Amino acid sequence: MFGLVFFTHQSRQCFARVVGVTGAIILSAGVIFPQSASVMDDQEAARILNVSPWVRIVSPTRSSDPFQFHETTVLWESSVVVRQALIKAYGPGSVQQYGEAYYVISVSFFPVASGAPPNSHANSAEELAEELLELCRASAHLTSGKVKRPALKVAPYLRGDQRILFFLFPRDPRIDPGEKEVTFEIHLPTLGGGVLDLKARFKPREMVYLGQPDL
Amino acid sequence: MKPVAVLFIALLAASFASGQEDVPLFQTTAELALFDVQVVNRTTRTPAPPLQQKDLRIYEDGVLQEIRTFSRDELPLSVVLLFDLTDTSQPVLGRLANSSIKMLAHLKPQDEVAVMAYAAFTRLVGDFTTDREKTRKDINKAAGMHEISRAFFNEAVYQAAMQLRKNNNSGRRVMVWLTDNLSSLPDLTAQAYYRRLAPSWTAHTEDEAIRALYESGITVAPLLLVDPAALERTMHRRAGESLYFKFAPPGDARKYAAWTGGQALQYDGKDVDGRMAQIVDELRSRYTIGYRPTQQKPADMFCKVRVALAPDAPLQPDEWLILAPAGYYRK
Repeated sequence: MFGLVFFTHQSRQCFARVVGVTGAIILSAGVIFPQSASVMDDQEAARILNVSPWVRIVSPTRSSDPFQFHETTVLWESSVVVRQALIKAYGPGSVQQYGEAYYVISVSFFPVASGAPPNSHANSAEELAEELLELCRASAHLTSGKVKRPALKVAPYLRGDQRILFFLFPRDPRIDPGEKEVTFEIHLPTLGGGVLDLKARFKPREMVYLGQPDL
Repeated sequence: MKPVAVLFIALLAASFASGQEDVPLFQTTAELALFDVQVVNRTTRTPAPPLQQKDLRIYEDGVLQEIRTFSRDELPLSVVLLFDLTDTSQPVLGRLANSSIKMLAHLKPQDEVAVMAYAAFTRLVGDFTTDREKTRKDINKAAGMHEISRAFFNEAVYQAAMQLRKNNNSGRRVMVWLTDNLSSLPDLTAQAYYRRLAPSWTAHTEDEAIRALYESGITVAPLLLVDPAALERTMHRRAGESLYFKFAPPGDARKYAAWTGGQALQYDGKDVDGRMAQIVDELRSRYTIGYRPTQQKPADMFCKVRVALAPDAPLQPDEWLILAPAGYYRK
């Protein structure tokens, strides 16, 4: 099997020649790159989901007070390598299908209940939940260069013990793989008047899988 | 309601001695599907005037069945009184206990009662008994309990269903559930926490709990506390959790009632006595109807049941609602 070829920016040049040769051999043999998680072992999957260019562990902060929020895991979920790692770690049903039209960022353990929808008309927890989702959507952006993309949709998901929110951003215009930095941000108005901030910076140049940009 | 009870001749004769015309009494292997059914006004939710066997139709998987037994309040009740111990229910527990004790007077001497209580853990406070004094003590004991924790409804329902099944009584099985219906998300983080506290701790799912209810033919009759202040106080936390309910349904007393043909009543903290009495009187006024399924089906298969008013019944379907379980599992 081909194994997982996994790059960081620093190691990219070292591996480039190897991958290029490997890729040429594979393509010349008419072999399609494996799309299943079977080529990835548990350690690789754990590494990708915890310490890789596709993941950031960050703590939200609130402007109004020094409250310590639980750490959140921000994961670039639309990338092939992350999806393979998720399948390896959690099984085939753990990956949501949103199609190729979106960049998908997932945030686990985000304190969504801290949000305060303006002019709320919620009469029940379920109605308030819908308002909170819309507030999260309106509060999230994905910025690369001068392009600031608003989130098109936010969807909840329960994966294992993780309460997750998926943030969907349009792929059009596409993020330049040579971009130095892409920033995912949420600025959520909260109960009590403060704003809950969460910021995760990704480096597209390092987000390369099997020799291809993988966003 | 007691689906596919294999009843022997003596039991049939004893239980349905009155009002029966064509039950083959000397058939020792006869399987009889029994269901508790209620007909209520769609607006007021009050029971309909007395009905006769010919006024109802029962269908299994769309096939009309011949009603072989029809009775009203003849079989004894086996009742689990299930107390919600969580913080939001605590302020009314004392009143609920007093009303529950008064409610016992509405039961027949042969009706038996068990008392259970739950939050994160479900406990049997007192097993089934017809001794009202013992039940009174059990109720007071439950009212004195307090557990600062999350509330796992599905597990409580499952355990109560198991208790009713274990009792093996031939009567009608009922769960009178006293709750504010504010459940907690039974996610893996919570489960891991409680398993550390008690390794034997379990968290059955909603599917497992409803199956246990169907298998034992249990009617769920919740009395729901509606406390606007508690709802307001907990709304943000519950909203945050409710986003994930569709992935791990925490259990909803109203749904359990609807699935099992029970009726959920509400109260606002006042007139608890009246509501408790109403629940028992409503349970008393239900019809028990039975049929022998005409179709051979594999064991363990879920059979959908529908009960309807006969076309020539004195009641009109647009005015009257039939409360019946959604089905049962073949044995």
